[in-house]
Amino acid sequence: MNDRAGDTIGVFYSLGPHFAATLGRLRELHPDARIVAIVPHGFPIAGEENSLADEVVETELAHYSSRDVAACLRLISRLRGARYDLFVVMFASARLGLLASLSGSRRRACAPPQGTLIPLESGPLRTLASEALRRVTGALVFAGLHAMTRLTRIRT
Amino acid sequence: MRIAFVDLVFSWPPNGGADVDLYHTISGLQSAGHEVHLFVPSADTWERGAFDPAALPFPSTRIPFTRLGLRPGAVARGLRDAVDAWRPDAVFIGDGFFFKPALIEALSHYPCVGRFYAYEIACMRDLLLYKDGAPCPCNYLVTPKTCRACALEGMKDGILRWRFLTWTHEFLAAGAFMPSYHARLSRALGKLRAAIVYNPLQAEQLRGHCDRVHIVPGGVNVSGYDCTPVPAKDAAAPKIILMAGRVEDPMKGLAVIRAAGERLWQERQDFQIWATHTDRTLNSRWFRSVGWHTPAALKAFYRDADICVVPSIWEEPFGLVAVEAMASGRPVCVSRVGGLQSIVAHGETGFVFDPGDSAGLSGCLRQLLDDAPLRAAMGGAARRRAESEYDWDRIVATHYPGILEDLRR
Repeated sequence: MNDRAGDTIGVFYSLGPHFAATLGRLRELHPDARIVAIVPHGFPIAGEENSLADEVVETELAHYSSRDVAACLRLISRLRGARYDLFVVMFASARLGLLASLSGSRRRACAPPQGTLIPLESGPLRTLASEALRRVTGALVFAGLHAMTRLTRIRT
Repeated sequence: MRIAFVDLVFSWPPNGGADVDLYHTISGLQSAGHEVHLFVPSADTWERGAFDPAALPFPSTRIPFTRLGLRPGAVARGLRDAVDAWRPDAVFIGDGFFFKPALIEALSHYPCVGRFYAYEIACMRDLLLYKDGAPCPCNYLVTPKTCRACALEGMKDGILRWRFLTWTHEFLAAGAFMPSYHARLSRALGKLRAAIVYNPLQAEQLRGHCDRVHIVPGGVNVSGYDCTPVPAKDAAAPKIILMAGRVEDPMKGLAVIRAAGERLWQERQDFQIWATHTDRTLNSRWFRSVGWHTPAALKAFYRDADICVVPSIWEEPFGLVAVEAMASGRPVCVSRVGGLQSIVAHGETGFVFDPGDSAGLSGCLRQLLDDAPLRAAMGGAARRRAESEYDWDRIVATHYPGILEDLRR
């Protein structure tokens, strides 16, 4: 996450208590970078966030669902078009990891509420494969647990 | 007395009220002349052992584990070895979830006291004892089969996605889904010399499993809160009604205060509700999400407030936010749940209303909004009650000598 003068950092908003803190932390780490806050449509940005970000851009929708395929593709296309040098999401979820990997940014990171900045290095295929493996593991474990709770008795 | 404190999830800055409670209990007992030491397993996660020992006012040890190494047997052995090396007279076992039985067993050669901060023994699902929009009457110690199935249902999404937090990790790693876990838990509870809980409901849940159960409230450092008089605002000036805490959590009752606010706004426009909520899309002429704030920054919000509200709809084990508001000299309206209902003296330091009763809450707020002297009188009484009942020094001095005396016998 080395600082480079003139870098543009995109920070993708998610509902959480640490959006302003994340902008502030990035400003400290990258004093010369241009920081863009990407917020949901109609989002009432606060004064503190406004002062920490060089630019605030709104997404097309207030909420995205995986069913809105066309809107998701437009969002990805817009992020890729912005050519962020660093793209930051606020949680380490599968969806945000995938969005980061599809953002076209060379460097991607997750900024969870604890104040750290964790690099996200996987590409889209690896992110999808890792997610699929997680789901298979989860399904197998859950099936085993479900069978156990149905088939075993607890003596009190 | 040499007292070891063992906590499975302590972090500082705190992740919740349990960390704050443990911090002040250890500090208080140290100030009272006891030798204390905190032992915590740490792993690469914000939920467990995220603190700098040098930043704590009492001695502490973090015992490192890898994520894969976080198994109940290994954690219990690691903590036992560290505690044995320190040679305490007694052990207090703080917060933790499904690893607690293994930990109690491993430390049972000492007089052990177990501290239970929520419903982690009774509710396997998520320690909240709250399901389908209402408090749940079950207790794992009594209805283990029902609770085990409910727990699995509650954790289903996390397990299927294979992404989960400490609660589910401990459930899986401790084999809490196995039939034998119930007997292990019962046996471990029987080995405790005493248990400490926040409220009578928790005490009732442990009945028959632990001989001595002490109800000890949480508290605040009252002197750390400025007690400014409730602002004497004229009729036209907007009065601030503050809801602080983890407002995002639906169980905290944001919907109740918003319904009450909507009702009041129909008849008067002399108030604003501020909530420590991060979703600003809810903002309106009478409602403002003021964002999340550190405990230190929150004091300024209490100072600006005229009335505080804690409208929880679950059986809140304690209710630290209500005590903080009282320490700031503000009248508080709380719902009649768990430990919260006993914090406010109804009609003296604020009002108590039925959980989920937005009409009842709007009635309480109407009375306070209409009557500036009542707000001031209740605010003053609230501060006095916080000083006499909920100051940490007072709590440690009142409740702990008896508990420690029992351990010496």
